[in-house]
Amino acid sequence: MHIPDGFFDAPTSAAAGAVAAGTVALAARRTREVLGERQVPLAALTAAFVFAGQMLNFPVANGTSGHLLGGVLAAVLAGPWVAVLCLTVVLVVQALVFADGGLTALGLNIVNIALVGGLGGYAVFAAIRRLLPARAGSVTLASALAAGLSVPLAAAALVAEYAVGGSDAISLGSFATAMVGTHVLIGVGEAVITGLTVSAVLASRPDLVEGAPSSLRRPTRAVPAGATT
Amino acid sequence: MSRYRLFLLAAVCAVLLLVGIAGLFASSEPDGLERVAAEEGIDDVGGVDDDRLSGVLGGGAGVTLVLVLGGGTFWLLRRRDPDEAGSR
Repeated sequence: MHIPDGFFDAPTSAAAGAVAAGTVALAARRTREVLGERQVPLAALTAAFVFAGQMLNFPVANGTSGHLLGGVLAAVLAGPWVAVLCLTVVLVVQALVFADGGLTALGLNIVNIALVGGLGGYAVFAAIRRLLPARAGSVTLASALAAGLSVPLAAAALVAEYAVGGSDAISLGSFATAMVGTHVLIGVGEAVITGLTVSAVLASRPDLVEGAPSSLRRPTRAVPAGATT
Repeated sequence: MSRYRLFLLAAVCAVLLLVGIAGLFASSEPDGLERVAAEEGIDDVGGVDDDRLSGVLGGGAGVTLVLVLGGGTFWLLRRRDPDEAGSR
């Protein structure tokens, strides 16, 4: 899913860079309002988990592999704005150090993976979660479904960008079909990994899952009546 | 050790486990975009499939870098109110 240099023309890459910069700036402002000092290590670990998850390419049909994007996973665990920053850190390290995703395509990759996959995927998660009863299973199910959808959604965003500023004249119809079709399959893996991870955290520390309803996020320790917390 | 620290430690272990599994077993086949781009005839795919981050060492270095960079970013962006310390 990481776009290399040379896939897109310069104006499109620059425009995506501007959108990405705006998104990251907004995410930084919101994070400053919500992120407590004690949550700092957890936020950094979420970024590390997404980075490690993106390394793990699993095979899908006919000689193609896919890997976690991690947008919905990070957003459900750490909140959507912190997730945008987690994904941005991951994408910056990948582009700068590992040549995974071009430096000129960094804006496009942030738009597709952090903005569309992360924030967009979180909006899908929140909508599905509200339709379900306030139980841990609902949070897991909603994150898995939203994660599964976020992958073809990000792929569709990439195709739309290609229609605007792709470097080669190709058949957009067949590009769109192939991209979305392949990423529906990859989305199944995304859904499984996201569902398993969210349910594991919910089972041990539901209070650390930002996307869980407040009724599930009460401290798990029994607090004596009248004790101040 | 507090339960929160214990949870953080478990999370670190999960990340390390993931890096280990990814470094040893990750599929080296082209990913969705690489595959489709090649099939659809997008030319400029130089470097798309050679430079995949692989190996436990590379992964470990990457994860460490993300932790440091992410930790620094989130530390700078933490909420600053004096009476927040000690909650949770």
